[in-house]
Amino acid sequence: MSSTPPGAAAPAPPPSTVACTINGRPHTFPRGTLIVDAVRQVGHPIPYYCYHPKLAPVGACRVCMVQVEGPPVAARGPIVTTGCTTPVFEGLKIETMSEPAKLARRQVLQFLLINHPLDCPVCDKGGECDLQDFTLGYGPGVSEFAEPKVLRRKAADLGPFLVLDQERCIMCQRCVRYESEVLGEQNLVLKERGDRTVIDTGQGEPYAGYFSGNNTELCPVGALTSRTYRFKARPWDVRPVASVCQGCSLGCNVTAQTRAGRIVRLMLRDNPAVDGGWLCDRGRYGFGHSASPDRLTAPLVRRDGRLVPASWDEAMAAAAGGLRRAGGAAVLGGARLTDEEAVLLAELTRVALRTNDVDWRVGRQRFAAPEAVGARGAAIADLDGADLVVLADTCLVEEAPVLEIRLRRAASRRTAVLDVGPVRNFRIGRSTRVPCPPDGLAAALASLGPKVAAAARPVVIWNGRGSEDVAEAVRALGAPVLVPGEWSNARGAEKAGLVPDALPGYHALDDAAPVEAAWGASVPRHPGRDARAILEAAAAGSIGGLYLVGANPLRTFPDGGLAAAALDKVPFLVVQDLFMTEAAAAADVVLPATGPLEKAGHVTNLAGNRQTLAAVAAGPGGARSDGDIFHALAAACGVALTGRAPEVATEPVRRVLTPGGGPPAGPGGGALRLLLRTRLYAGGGTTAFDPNLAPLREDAVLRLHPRDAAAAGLEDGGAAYVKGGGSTLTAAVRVDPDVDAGHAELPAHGFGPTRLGAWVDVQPAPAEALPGRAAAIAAVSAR
Amino acid sequence: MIRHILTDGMDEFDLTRLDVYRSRGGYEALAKALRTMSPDDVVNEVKVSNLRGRGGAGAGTHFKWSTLPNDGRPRYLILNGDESEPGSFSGRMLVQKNPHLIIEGALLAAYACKMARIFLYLRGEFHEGAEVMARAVGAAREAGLVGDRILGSDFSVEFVVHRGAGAYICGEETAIMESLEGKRGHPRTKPPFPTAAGLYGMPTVIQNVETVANLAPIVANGGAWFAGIGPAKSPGTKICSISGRVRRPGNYEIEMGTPLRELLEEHAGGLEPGHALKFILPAGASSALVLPSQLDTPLDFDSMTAIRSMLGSAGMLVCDDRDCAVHVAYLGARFYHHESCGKCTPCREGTGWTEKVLHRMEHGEGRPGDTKRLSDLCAGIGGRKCLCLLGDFSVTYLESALRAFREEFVAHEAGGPCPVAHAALEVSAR
Repeated sequence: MSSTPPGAAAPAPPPSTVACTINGRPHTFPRGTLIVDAVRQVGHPIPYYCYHPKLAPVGACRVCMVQVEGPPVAARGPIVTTGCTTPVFEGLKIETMSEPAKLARRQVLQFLLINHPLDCPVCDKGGECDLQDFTLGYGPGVSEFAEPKVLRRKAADLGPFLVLDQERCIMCQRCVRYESEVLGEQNLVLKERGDRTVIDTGQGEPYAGYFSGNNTELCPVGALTSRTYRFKARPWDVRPVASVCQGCSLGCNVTAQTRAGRIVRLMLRDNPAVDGGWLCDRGRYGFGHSASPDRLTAPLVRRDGRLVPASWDEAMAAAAGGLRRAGGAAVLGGARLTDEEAVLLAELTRVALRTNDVDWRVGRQRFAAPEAVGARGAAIADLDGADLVVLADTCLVEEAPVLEIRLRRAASRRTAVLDVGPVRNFRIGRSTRVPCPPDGLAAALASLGPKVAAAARPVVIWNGRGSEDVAEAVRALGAPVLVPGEWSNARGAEKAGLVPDALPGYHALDDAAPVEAAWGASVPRHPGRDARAILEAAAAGSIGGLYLVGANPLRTFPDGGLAAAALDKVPFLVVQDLFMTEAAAAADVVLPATGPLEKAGHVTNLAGNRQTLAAVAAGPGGARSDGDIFHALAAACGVALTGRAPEVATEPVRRVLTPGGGPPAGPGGGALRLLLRTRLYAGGGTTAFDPNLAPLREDAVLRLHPRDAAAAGLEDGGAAYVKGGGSTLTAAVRVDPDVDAGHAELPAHGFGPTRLGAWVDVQPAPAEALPGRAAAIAAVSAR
Repeated sequence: MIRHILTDGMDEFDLTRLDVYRSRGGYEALAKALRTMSPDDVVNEVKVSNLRGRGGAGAGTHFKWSTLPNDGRPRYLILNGDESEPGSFSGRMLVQKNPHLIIEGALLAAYACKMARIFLYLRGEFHEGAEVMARAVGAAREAGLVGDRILGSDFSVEFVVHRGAGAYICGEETAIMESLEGKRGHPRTKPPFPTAAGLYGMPTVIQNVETVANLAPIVANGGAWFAGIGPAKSPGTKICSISGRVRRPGNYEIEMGTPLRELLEEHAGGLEPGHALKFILPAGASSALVLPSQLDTPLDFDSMTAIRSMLGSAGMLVCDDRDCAVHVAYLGARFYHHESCGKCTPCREGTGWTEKVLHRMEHGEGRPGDTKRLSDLCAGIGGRKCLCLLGDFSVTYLESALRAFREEFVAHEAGGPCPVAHAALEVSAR
């Protein structure tokens, strides 16, 4: 209650805006607005280096000098001060182009240049460099510095992506501030003092984080540059195209720049509602697969036991014939298509192949849209204001990395994070762990009910894995849910009906009329089989043909043994992909498709944001887009696809989630419980074939608790045999206290771990035993 | 009549021993405050005393305390013992020889301002001082003077002795907080000011060790007694460090307002016979030169500011007719180049440029235009272009040297041996 006596006027709050003048014209700004922001807002040019809208002001470069006069410095007359550290005041007169301000900026620019190497002709930043631009705009025309310059390291190697030129650095500290303020990391730090100060990694080790590339865009000069862009182009050489990263289901907005049809770099395109203006390194640098010499460039047809090049017509005829043979066809995959292509595949499956045996879920994710299981969807920006975030055994930094940045920032303010699962998922920033075994997630989530109910703005993040009891536990929490997908467009695939128990637009199978009206054709009404049932049927020899669309169940399906048996036994296998994957090597027909950077369309991200994909690069000559292939394949089956997407059902079919399949739980043969988890640099998709990402590949890395490592005689950095289910895998060892004791973690999409069963034994292996990828492919293709 | 408030008995007795310090009335002011005075009473005595900070800026101690917000957050007191100004060595003496006077004063400040914790930040090179202080704090803790329920009262405060890593910048009041937090010693932007959001974001008061050393005498004798010593606007005493071309270099505690001539000629024994005073750097390397014609200036904050110099920490460097202005300027430039923290462009780059030019001039490689270049550098670095005052400090002495001894700089532009006969006056920079 207020203690103000009745009738007394409450003290007037200070006005929320202040009026001031900029270059003689009056303006009004919210109280506390920094002068540099005010000047920018009204459109006057002002140079700055250390200032950045996403970083706290630091006042280091001193180049945003303006002249101010008025309160609180009225008595002193006009003074020159930095716009990035001074807020606007009522009555302040700001002059950006007065002689004292111009002189101060010229002096600062002169100082910035004295120890700069001026090697613009060989600098990657040339043409888009703030030091060039501001010197031209505000600096002295000639350097009066005649003394020897300070010499530092040039082309310093900071790991696979970053190259640092310490001499070009102007010490704006944007990078070190980004590391600490945005990431909560310290991968880049300042060392030494005065004009000997340099940027470096802490101990000279390679940059270790997942978000190094953002530094190259924050850096206003040519100090931090991308290895992949070194000496590749000038800004006026490139064609910028706006598109969306398809590295994960977040769909960060990017601008792709091409030179002569080849992508030279991806840059962030700030979308506050999705990416907050950051990219992860896999997204930024994972474009190398597009121009890889390993791309499939022509259709392949198996003749006399060997895959040989064929024309598209031959391949289509072979595929259409094989898929329609006795026993019927089944379709797996589709979660990397565009929304439009996913609808085409749904139509192809239902109308041309006459089956509901279709499932995008060739991994562990069971659903993509929260609404499909009766939960409420959250917006990405909901994380910013959340007071409680429940991480349901979901590791954002590996599964949707840029979303992790948002959560870290939230956690650094007021958001409490409950990290549920057998591994610490949230490693930087405050959180409370709720440990549980891999099959105890539902119970652990249920125990959090009161906490979530007490929260004002809770958000649950669950990657949609597990079975109906986990889905029920998530539903029961009642909070909005975000579902990071196992593939980039899982949500689009689900909505397009690439599932056995629902039609496009979430129409139930007995609600097929709108779908049939859209397509002008009837669709089968009997429920189809899910991925596990399809693979079981294939392994039993009861399916005529299997069509894998951008899918490689040998790596991704939780029961790798079943997947291998299915691909071995199925009479006819069609694989549509970018590369000769293990599955493609086993196919009867291989169809080369274009990749996510090579086709236009729309994609739906983990929060339901529908975004536009552009064809940035051409792709190899012989490849076709997935959509074109669906049209051609349907035509070969005598069907013309409409591509029309039916209206979304007003009451979406609510689906029951059967477990994704995998070895049975419970005590098994081994001592450690196997955890298969998503890792950013593991997998069999484009990541496996991207030369830019090759140095960071970690297909076979075993993570386990120090106690378990010691018990097994394993050392960090060594090699281990992992045995289970009659199978043995060789892996590099990482001792990791954030993996709970009793568990052995392997990358889910690596090659081999899905054959091991639920319980494994580990023992030391000689280092030379670590497998190569070629050997793995050879083992499968010799079927 | 010379009054010694801070150094009383320091040379005759081992005041580092708690029993000796107490036998001479030590910690009685603390006992008096805890038993008979409220925190506000102590604040009031300090207000009446008109005590001003001894670190250099001369800010009113009571004013600083009065800006602390009353919002229930924990408050911290930082004692600045990062004495790094060339020619200043009074703080080191106090720390090494009269540690309990600092501790007692800090406890009184903490009691008055309801501080949760006291941090003594000592210059990295003060190995001995750190040991003396650690022993003194330990003895005080054992005697119930530091820690929980001090002297049986409800007042509790912890006292932390921290040694820096040897950086001039960490004597700056915001860089000292960064350093204490384990970060790089870089100054922070202001606002927020330390009393609003300082160490670990909490309201923080930063005081020079000599400032708090005055608090026990003030509480013991009353603020009015202190206010009566020296000039009304800068009362009390000041320990002046004087070195260079004098016969008796050392620390001298003088009453504020004592003429500089008296300090130089009577306390420090004057110059060596046969030599004439050329100039004095009164506040170490960071102040404008005082010329022989200004020797009668009273040593207090306002009088020194009036002659466009400053009292600062009163580290007086005395130069006579053997000392070349260019040589002294080179030593100063070397110091500032070495100590610039590197955060702000003008200071980071400008101090190095200045040293390089002066290095050439000093080593017989002067070029035409060097003097003007130095003036331009001073204009580019100074005038509040940098975040903290180090940038301005780095040119203040040089600007005044260029004004007073311009012909010596111009003479060096010709190259060759120094035209001003001099013997080396060493200001340690490295």
